[in-house]
Amino acid sequence: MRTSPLASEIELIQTALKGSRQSYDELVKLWSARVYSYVRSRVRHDHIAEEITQDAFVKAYCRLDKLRERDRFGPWLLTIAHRLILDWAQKKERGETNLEPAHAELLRQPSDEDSDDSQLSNLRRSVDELPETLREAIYTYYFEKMTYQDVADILGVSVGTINARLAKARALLRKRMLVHQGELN
Amino acid sequence: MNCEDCLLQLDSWIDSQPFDGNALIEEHLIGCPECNSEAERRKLLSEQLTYLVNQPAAEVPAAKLEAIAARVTQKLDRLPDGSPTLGVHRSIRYVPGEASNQTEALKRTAGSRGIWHFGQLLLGVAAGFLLAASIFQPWTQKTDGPLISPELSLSPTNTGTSDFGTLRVAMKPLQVQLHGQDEWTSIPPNSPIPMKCRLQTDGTLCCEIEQSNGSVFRIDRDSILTIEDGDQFRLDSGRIWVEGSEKLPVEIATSDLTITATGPCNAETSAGIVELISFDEPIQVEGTTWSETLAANSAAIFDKRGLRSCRSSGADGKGNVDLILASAWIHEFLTRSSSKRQFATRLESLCDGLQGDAADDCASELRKLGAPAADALVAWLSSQQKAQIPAEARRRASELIAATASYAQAELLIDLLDDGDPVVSRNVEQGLERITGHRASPIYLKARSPAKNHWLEWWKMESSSTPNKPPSEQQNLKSAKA
Repeated sequence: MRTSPLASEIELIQTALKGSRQSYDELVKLWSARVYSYVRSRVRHDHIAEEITQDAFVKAYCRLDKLRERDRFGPWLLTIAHRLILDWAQKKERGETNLEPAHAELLRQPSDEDSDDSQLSNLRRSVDELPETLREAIYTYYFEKMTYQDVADILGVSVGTINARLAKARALLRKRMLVHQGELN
Repeated sequence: MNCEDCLLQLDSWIDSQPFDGNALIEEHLIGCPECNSEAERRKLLSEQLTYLVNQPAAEVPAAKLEAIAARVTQKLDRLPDGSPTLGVHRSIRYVPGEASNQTEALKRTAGSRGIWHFGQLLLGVAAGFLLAASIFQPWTQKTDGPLISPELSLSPTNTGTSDFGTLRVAMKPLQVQLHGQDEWTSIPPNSPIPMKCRLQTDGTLCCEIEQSNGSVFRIDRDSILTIEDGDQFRLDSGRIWVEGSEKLPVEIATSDLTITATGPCNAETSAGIVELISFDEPIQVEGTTWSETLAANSAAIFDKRGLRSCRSSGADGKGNVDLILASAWIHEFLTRSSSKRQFATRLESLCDGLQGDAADDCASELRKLGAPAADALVAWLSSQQKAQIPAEARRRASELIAATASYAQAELLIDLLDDGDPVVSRNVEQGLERITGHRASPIYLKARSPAKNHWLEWWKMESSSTPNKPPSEQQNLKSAKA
C-alpha cells in the first residue's frame, strides 16, 4: 500500500491476536474508511458496501492468526473484501440476494455523487465497459495506488498478469475515450 | 531506448513501479517530444482514474464509519469464542518436504508410495472393521511382519486425561513414537493415543482414530502423522481422511492452502490441494479469501484459489456409481452411522451398474470394496434376475469376484462354478485358486469332470481338516507343487 503500516498497527494486530478486542476495534477504526471506499467503488450501493465491509472485518478477525506478514494487514483485509464482493456478485447472479439490479448494472450506474464532468463521465463509461478482469484490475490498482504486488495478492494472480491487465485496460480506455469523445462531438 | 520500448514500459514508469529502465525512459522522454506528450496523456488518464476510483472515499461520513464499527463489534460479540483463532477445531498440515528427511530412517516397508490406492485402503479398513465387529478369523491375527517392536499398552494411568483419541480400528498394531523417545512401539486396537507422539503406518496397515468429541480420522498406508498438541496434528507423509463432527469446523492446511470445513465431511490432502467429500448434508468450505458451499453427497477439489472441480451424485440419487458415494459407503461402513441395509442396497446398485454405461466406474468401485463386494456380486449373479444380466456384465462380475473374494467366501464361489458361461466358471475358479492356494489336479483336468464336483470334494476335505482356516503359505506352495 502507499501508506506504510504504522508500528502501532502491527502492535495492535499482535495484541488483538492475544485476545484484545479493543485493539481490533482500533484496527477497524483505522481501516473502515478505506475498506468501505474500496467496496463502495465496486458495488455502488451503500447498504451492500456496509454489509460487505462489516463482514470483511469479522472474517479478518476470525483469521487474524493466518496473517503471516503483520505489516500487510491492509492488502490482506482488502483481499478478503474483494472476495466478499465476488461472492456477493455471484450470489446476485444466482438470484440469492434481494437487491434488484444486477451487479454489472450497478457498476454502470453513476452514483448520486458522480461528477457531471463529461470527460469523467466518459471515463466512467469506458471503465464500466471493460471486461470484468480488466475492470477489477483498474479498480483495485487505482484504489489508493497500490503496488502491483498488492493488487496481485488481492486478486490472486501474478504480478505479470496484473501488469498485462493494466496495460491492456489502459490501452482499451484510451481507445474508448477517443470513441466516446467523438460521439459527443 | 527507442520509442517502441519506451511506450511499452511507460505505464510502469508512470505507476512508479520498481523497474530497472526508469533512467533510460526519463532520458528518452527528454529527447523525444512525441513520447513525452504520450507520457503526459497517460499521466492524465492515471490521475483521472485515481480520482474516479477513489471518488467515494472522500465522502464517507463519520457517522457511517461509526455505524460500521459498531456493527462489527456487535457481530464479533456474537461469536461464541472471543479469540481470533475462533472456530479452528484442529489443523492438519501436509509438509512432505519437511518430513522426508526425518521419516526416511523410519521407513520399514518397501511398498511404493505416491499413487494412492483407494481400494487398498478400503479393503484394509473394511477388514479392520470386521475385526472390530468381532468376526474373528484366526488368520487375520497380527503377523510378525515388519512390526518387530513389542506392543505398548497405554493404560489411562500413563496417558492421563491428555489422550488425543482412541485407536478404534486397525488392521494390526499401530507404530507409535512417544514424545522425546527414539524407539517406536506398537499399540493394539482400542488403545488410547497419547498427545505429542508420532504415528506410522506401513504398507499393510490402515487405521481409524476416534476422538472423544466424535471426530474421526483415518490414516492411510505408508503414512506418518505427528500429533503436536491439543487438536493440532500434522501429516508428514501419506494421506489422511478426516471426518469432522457436526458442530466443530475442521481446518485443513497443505503447503500453500488452508481451508476450513464446517459439517461432516471426509478430507484428503495432498500437495497444494484438499479434496472434500460431503455426505447427507451440505458443508461450508472457506479458504483464506473465498467461501463455498459444497452440496450434499458431493466431492470437490480445492486449491488456493478456491474450487477447482466438483462432482455430485445428482439430485435423483441415481448417480450412485462414482467415487463420491463409494467414499460415502466407506464412511458409513466404518463409522457404523448408517444401517447395514443401506450399505447393502448401495452395493446392489453398484452391481446393477455393471450393466450400464458406468460399468467401468462400478467395477472400479467394487474392486475397491473388497470382500463385501464379492458377497454382493455372488448374490447378484445367483439372483432370480440372473437370466436377464448380459453375458458381458456377468463375466465382469465374475472377474471381480475372483479379485475380491476372501477365503471365507470359498463356498459361495464353488456354487458359481456350474454357471452356464464357461468364462464365468473359469474366472470363479481362478478366484478359488487365489484364495485357497489349491490348484486343480492333473487327474481332474484329464477326466474333465465338472469343476464344481472337484472343488466341492476338495472343500469338504479342507473344511473338515482345518475348519474355517485358510492354508498357510507353505500349504499353498505344497498344493501348487502338487
